[in-house]
Amino acid sequence: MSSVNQEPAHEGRSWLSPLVTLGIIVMGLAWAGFGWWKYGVWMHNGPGAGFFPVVMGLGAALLGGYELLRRRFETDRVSWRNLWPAVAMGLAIASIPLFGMVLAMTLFIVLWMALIERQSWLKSVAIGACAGGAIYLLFGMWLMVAFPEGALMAPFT
Amino acid sequence: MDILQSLMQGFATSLTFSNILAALVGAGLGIIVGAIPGLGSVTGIALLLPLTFQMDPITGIIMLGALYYGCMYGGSYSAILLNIPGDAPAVVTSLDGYPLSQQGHGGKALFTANISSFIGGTVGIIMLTFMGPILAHVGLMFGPAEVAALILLALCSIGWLLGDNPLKGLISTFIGVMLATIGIGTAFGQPRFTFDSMYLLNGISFIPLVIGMFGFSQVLVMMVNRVDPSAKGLSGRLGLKESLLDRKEALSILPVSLRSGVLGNLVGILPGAGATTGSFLSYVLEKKVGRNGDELGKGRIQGVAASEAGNNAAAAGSFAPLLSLGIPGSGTAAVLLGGLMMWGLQPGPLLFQNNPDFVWGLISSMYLGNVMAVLAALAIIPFLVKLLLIPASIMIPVIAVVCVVGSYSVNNSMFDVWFMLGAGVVAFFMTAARYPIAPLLLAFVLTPRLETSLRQALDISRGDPMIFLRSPIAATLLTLILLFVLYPLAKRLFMTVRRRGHKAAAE
Repeated sequence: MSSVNQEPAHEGRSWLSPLVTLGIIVMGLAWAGFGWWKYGVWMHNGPGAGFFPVVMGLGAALLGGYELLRRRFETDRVSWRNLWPAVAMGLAIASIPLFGMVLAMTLFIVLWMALIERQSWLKSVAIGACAGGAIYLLFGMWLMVAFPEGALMAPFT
Repeated sequence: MDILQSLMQGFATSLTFSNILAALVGAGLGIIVGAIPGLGSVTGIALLLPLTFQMDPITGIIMLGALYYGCMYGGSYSAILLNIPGDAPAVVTSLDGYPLSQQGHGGKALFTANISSFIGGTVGIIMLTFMGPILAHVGLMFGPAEVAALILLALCSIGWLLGDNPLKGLISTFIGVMLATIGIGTAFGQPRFTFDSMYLLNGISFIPLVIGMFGFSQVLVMMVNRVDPSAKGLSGRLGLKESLLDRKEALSILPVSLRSGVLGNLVGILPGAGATTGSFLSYVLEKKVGRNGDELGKGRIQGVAASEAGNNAAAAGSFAPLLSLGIPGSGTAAVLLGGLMMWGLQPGPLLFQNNPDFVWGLISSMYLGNVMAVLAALAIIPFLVKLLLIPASIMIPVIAVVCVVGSYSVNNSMFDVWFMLGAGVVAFFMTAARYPIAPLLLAFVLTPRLETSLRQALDISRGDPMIFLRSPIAATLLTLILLFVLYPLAKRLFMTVRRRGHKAAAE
């Protein structure tokens, strides 16, 4: 990754950069369109609610178009493996209504470490329990964050 | 002399055993709260406020002041070690802090953050002590036109300064502004881009956005680009000794911290400008005037120093309008204002006359809080740097869980959690396509204030844009913006002409 915060990686798939730029152009045009027709650019002697969306949307779309025309499609290497944490975390978040926040997150750590990282079950359970306990004590008890309890945990609370 | 005498009396009031203990506890709690992604100084003070009502008001305000400073110190830790900024100003700290950690200099980055926070905070408090009422009145000279011009200056510099490709930096800035227009803005009272979702009515929450775009996207990167701490020889470089700055390094961050402290303090007194603008403009200043300004963003301690000193000085500056005029300069100051009023104190010009013990006790407690916070912060560096030795197999799931819990705890909203996840994936692809994320986040923070100020300025002038040129401050800032935009172009033109001249001479 080559943003300000990531080390440069190898050059990767060239389709990603134009695809992201195209997404930005579409977003910019949508913002400009909504701003122009729905919110109004200039009203009551001043900028209307659509002023910034139109200016910034057009700016992003025009610069994005220029970027596409320059055809300098630098992209860092990405693989499907990069997205595994997002998919697994998506499943864990979806299970929160059933297990509750603390248990779902604990299970995520245990299962991730044991199944994806191939660590021993003992180590996975120990780290999952420590992290889950820390979250419960810090956020649940001290900061009194009202975590979702989950249908399975409801009879015990 | 009056001020010095009053300050000494303030120290006589505040330097008791129970007050020093309260400052130490407040600083420790502040560091913890500040380091947890999703919680900032506003939350910390709001949580502690009810506990302090049973205390003597001076002890209570000392504890809260120390907690505020502790939060400012703690906010940089997760930015430096995990690339998850604990609060908005820490976004700037992560620009150099995280690369330093990746290079095995996390300890030095933390040490720099603490020392420069202390210097910046001290500069800010000294300015508050001797020029508080004057500063507050200078702040009031910044009306909507001046604030709009100042924030426009910050926005114009973001894209140019952050990232290797200014064009992509500019596009990221535009996206940040676009995202900030979602919801019912304070300037118009009209829902925009909410798509009939009640979750978007209040706009996008900053914390889930920053946690997703910095923290969770980092988890996705770590999945493939793993760094084995033992293989990289990090363990040998993460002791206390290796975290200390050598003489040359210490001397190099001193002027940076001092000038950032002055600038941050001046920005902090402006109503609504806040610590983020303070830390960012300090970074911009360093990038422009610093000896190695071009190298900022690649992992330089001067970048960390500029951001942290500016941030802490701005925090002190935000107290000037609160104490002198009763106007809170930041969200945290607004919560403190509530606390002061509950103790039966009315901040404003009469507070200095009616409750001098309290005011000078508070100002002296800021010195005390700053000293306690830096001592507590330096003491925990050896433990913090050990975090960098934890292997990726444990860091990936644990950071992912911290991201989820941190984004949930802001509003107790599952929507924020899903939003954080989506923002993380989008940021991952944007970074892979070499669009920098920091400009997007900074533009997102600054835009609402810009939009409101612009609208207010034009309302005042009945739509006449000349209001920006009639005000000397706004006109100066707009001239600076022009120079800022034209300077890189003129420099490039000059270099091209000179290169061609050399080439022609050589032939």
